[in-house]
Amino acid sequence: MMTFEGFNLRGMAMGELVLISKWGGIGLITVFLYGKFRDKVPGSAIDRECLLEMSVDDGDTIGLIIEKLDIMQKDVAHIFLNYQYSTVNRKLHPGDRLAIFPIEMSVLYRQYFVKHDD
Amino acid sequence: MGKFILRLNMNDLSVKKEDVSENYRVLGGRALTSTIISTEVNPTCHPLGPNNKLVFAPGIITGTTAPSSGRLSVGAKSPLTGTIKEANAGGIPGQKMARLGIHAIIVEGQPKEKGKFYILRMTPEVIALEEAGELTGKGMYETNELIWKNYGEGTGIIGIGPAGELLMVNAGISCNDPENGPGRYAGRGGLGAVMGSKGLKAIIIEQKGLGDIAYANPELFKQGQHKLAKGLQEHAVTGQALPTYGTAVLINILNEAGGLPTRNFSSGKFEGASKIGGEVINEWSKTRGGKVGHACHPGCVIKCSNVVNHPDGTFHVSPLEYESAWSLGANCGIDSLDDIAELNRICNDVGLDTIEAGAALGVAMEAGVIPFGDGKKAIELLNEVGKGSPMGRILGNGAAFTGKAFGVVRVPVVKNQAMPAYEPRAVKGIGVTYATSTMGADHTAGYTIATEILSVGGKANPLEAAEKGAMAKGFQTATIFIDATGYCLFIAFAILDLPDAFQGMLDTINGVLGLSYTAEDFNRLGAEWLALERKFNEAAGFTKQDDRLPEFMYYEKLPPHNQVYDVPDEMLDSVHGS
Ligand code: SF4
Repeated sequence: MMTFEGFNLRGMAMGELVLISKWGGIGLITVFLYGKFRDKVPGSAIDRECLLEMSVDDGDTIGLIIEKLDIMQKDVAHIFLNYQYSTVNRKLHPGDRLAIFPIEMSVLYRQYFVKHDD
Repeated sequence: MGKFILRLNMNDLSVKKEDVSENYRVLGGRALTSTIISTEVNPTCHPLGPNNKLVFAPGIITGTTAPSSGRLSVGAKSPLTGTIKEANAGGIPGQKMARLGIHAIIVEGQPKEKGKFYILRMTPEVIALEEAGELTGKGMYETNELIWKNYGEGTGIIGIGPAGELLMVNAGISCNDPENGPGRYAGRGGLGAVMGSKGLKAIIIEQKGLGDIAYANPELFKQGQHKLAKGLQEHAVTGQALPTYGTAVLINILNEAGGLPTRNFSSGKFEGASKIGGEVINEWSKTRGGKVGHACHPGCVIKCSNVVNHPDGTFHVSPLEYESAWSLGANCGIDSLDDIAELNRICNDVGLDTIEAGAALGVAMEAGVIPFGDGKKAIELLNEVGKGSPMGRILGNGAAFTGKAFGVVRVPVVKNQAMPAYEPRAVKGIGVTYATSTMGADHTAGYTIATEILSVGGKANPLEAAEKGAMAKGFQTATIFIDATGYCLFIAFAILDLPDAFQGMLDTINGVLGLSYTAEDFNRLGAEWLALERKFNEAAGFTKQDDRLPEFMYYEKLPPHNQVYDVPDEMLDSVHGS
């Protein structure tokens, strides 16, 4: 099993590269990465969904996941949690779908986003 | 150079120059086309009959050196919606028309000889109608090629393909880009059919000897130009995202927002989204050649346009925009970007609006004519339009007509015009704009979407119905003002965020007109022009009951949000205070 930056490579599923974080936790969330964040997943292709599975603990926030992914918050343009705009403060639960877009795909100014905030 | 209005009477094939009144002098673009239509056209006339008029008007600053300012507006009573209509396009002819001194072209009447087509040829010396001859019946690629061969490279071309000649109500009007591609369309509302009904195949403006625009206050203009250009370059959307990924960057974003209409508006999420968005187009520009950061006319600094190549590196289509990638892609369940590019190429050639064409295909797929997701069959079907076969005529007359032909209930139209690429059940405010715009379902009629998904110029929560009315009105007035100026609507991203860029935009207009418009005028004039359009529609028989979304959206829940459209009618009615 290949290891890099805190993730264990679990293998390919449905043609996508699936990674699982090596920390424990109460369950898994799926993270979808876009633009330059795709580089976080070696072997990811621009024309496929780039996703990884990560474990979360009770009370983990989106901000923590972003930190674990080694992404700077200032490089993030949009976050969608279960298809809703979200702040980094929202808490995650097993089964959640999280999508993160980089600032280069920002067809926006972040301060105007009305984000869901727990 | 003194400005003039050109009146083209197709009854007797005469061309007359008229002076520009002071009232008309300060108008341009959509403000001018809608004012002329309101003044001269009987709202109850048949849009394809002799009493409709077709008006072409460059924007107030079109033809100047202001950034991203080359738009040309086209107006008429729409044969698709029955409302007043303005559609505008980039490309090169608008700038040339303005530099020839043309304030507007008004086309009226109809030639006696049915099926006969003409071209209007313009140079600084000659303005004349000529028989279209061999151009008649030709697709837009060949038409443009022949015109450059016969009249010189760089000639500006405004033309219609077979769909317009055959009077199909999804026919658009093509403007050529700097490489002579026909892909810059004043697409919406069937204005190509109005042009066809006038027997006009093309308007061409030759390159040689064009003059310059007269500036009332050149210093002020220059200052404004500088401020605006700086803002457009600094803003993340206009300076970075649009030139890098083009508008199709929105495919993945809307998909994650659950608002990407999929398989004829039956879902807000498309599993093939990753294959058809701006990231792939950007990647292909490196691996196949082609281009991102393409300008649709000289002087655009945003450059949202692109060139998409075949796998073998040869040219396929330009541009491939968000709305087209969505309508011909996700909306048809098609996830092959090559097939989508081909469908787009067919639209450009035959002369169709891509949004309406994709919506019509989606409805035909819903009816089982061909399966969702089958790109090759979709290409075959769309090719029928140019042949004028019965199936082609059904599709070429738009989504609502196709729905009637096949008994489909889920037809995503307002006032007969297909909705663009933002699902109203996920993005409630855009639904208000679709419902209440003077143009039928139209995303450019009021940029609510900019605040809601793109987060520009205001705050909004897509899933909350409250207070959408006032917001939609505000954006409709802002939009109509920009449409009058000749600026590309995408400057809105920067000017609504950056006060300096906004002032720069006003300075350029004041510099050209010698006026002193302020931000208040921006809203006041926008509201006045909007009221004019509403009045035309009311006189054409439209009431508030027409300002509604299609019924299925009120009872079918849309995944993944599982929401229906729940903005109350009273709120829709409050937009225009009716
Ligand atoms: S931003 Fe895009 S559509 Fe607007 S003028 Fe520039 S290239 Fe044309």
